[in-house]
Amino acid sequence: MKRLFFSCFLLLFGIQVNGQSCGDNGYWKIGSQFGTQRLSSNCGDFICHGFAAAYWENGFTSGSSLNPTTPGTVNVTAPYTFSGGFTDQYYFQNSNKYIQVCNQSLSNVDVITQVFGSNPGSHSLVRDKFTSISPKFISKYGTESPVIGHKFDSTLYELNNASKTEPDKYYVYVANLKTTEYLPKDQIKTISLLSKSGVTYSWSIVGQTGIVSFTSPSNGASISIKGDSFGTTQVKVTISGCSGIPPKEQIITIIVPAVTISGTYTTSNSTNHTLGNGNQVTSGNVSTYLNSSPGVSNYVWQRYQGNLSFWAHTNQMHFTMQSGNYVSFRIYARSSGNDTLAVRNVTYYNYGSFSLYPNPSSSTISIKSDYEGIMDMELIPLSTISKMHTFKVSSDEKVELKELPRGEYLIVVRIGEDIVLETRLLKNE
Amino acid sequence: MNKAFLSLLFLSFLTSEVFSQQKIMEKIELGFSGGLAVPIGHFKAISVAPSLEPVPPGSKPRRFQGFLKNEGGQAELGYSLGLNLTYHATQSLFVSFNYLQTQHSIDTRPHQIFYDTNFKSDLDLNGNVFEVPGRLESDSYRANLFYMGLGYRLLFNRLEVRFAGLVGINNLEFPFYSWTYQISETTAIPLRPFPIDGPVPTDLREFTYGFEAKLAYPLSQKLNLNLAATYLRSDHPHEYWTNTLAASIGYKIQDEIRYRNLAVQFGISFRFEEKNKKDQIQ
Repeated sequence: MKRLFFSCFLLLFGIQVNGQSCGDNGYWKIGSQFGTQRLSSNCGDFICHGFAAAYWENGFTSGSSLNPTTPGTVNVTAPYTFSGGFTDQYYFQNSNKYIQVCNQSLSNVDVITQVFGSNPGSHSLVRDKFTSISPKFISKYGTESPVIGHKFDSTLYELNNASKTEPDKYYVYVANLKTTEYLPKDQIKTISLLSKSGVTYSWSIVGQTGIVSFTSPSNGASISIKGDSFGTTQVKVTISGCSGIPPKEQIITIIVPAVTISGTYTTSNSTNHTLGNGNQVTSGNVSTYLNSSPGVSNYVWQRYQGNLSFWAHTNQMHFTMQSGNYVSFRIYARSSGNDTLAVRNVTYYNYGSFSLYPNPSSSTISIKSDYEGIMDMELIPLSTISKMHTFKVSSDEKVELKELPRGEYLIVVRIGEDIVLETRLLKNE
Repeated sequence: MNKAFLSLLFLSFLTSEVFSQQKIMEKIELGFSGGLAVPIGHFKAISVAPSLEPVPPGSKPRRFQGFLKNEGGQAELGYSLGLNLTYHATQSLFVSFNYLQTQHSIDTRPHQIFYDTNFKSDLDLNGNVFEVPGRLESDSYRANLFYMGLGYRLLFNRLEVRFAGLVGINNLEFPFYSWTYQISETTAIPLRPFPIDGPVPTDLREFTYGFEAKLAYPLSQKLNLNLAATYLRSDHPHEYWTNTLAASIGYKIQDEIRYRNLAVQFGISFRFEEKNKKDQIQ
């Protein structure tokens, strides 16, 4: 009984000291003499193929980390588990997330598949993604081994002198496109695969034309697409690696949703102004209400110019305009899935007070304003038949009137398309 | 449905009348038996194909996925041991409660020959032949059958001829096996049933039924010498994974052992009531 108790104690003690429950290092040839390192304490429900796919496709469960100093628990998510069916040795050959490349250095390779006869059969190993110069590799051997880091030619099979029966195949991981992407009209979006050496990319529109257009070269790993008109189309990317190996294809559906952002705003002394891209508003409270639109779940207001504080809740936004100030917003119309369906930029501005002085005047006039930009001034004769005069002026800049005949004039001052001052001027001798 | 029907049929015969006698012990016979266990039909048949790796149509398998028995149990001639308790309800009708243990070794040679012929040799990258010797080892079939019999007895002078229908449970031990592949001079890796998403089966307990024919010859007032032929059959579906240590090879196996056994046994039985007295009572 004592002996049994002692044996159990030693066994438990051994497990605690090692912190490892998956095989002994001797069997798996783990150690510096083999150029290998243990990277997990457990075995886990995954084999080499599932591990390799999970490694590149973020398929590890939370908490998994490959740590050579203190190996921890490493597990993969459901699609990559062995019991869940991830046993396919041809995964990398068939998946369009990977493409076989040739004549590449090991530094540029992500997955290597090897065949050691019928038994032990095929093996997939991955390049340690944190190593590119003198790259290291990572292997898992069936369900009963830990994850092991090693030099390229130091798999367990090679350390055991197993014979290869097929040449190694090198693959790179290019990731995959989303199934569907929303692209607001007149907006540009970048769609990307991973850029890998030895791979060529070719993008084309395979659905309805005229919906989107490319705004960047179509032979890179990424493409910029602009939404030209409402509708749905498909964009295809063809990925090629080794010559003689069939290229892979991925297709993404692009939807340019028929959604526009519109609404009205009220100021402290007027209501129901149609919301424009530029909105001159009076000082005081300004409230904007957006119209509902099919497919739009909520609106997001993002201030990108100005510093006025505001309060927004989906389709309504409120702020207090100050004299001579401005604020610009980018409004996003979002779907229930948080896709951006439309984008619109709107600006609210107030030029402050404008006045003409001196009036009457016989020599010069000026505009008094807080506005610091250039204004367009028009002098329209009211009492004589003479032509209209236009000037570009800034605040307090003097406009010479000596050459003008005496009489009444209408002064119109504009900033852009907005009339900011209309007043009569009396010209003396 | 068949199981339920057969069980109900048996129970319907076990009316209170059968057990209404006061001196139950006087109607009991206890027997022991031993002899051959002769596999029959599927249980004996040889079939290599189901054990091969499943592959798409038109391609050839490269390895064994396990050692499957659904088309051939490959059971060899074995032995059987029995114990039975018989209650003679009337001069003709009897009910028996039986235990039978059978053991058959499993013939692995067909698979071994197939492996050696098809999978053992390969060519390496340089075109050189190399070999990966493989070895299949398997436990035997060990069945423990608990069953009840309802029978009829005929007397021909001193010789009794008994016929009985049998129903019960066959607790068949899963015959564990392993393929061992010698992948290098120093390393061998086994492929064997392995717990991946569930345990490897140990006991395959299923309904069994059959019949028995027995000749009983009295050696003395209380002792009979018996020669019995007992046929019992049962189907044992089960599933498990096979897994290869240190290799990413594994298969989910769905298999069935079709137990078909004819136990031919000699035995001795002891009757608590003296035979001549019994005949007087009758």
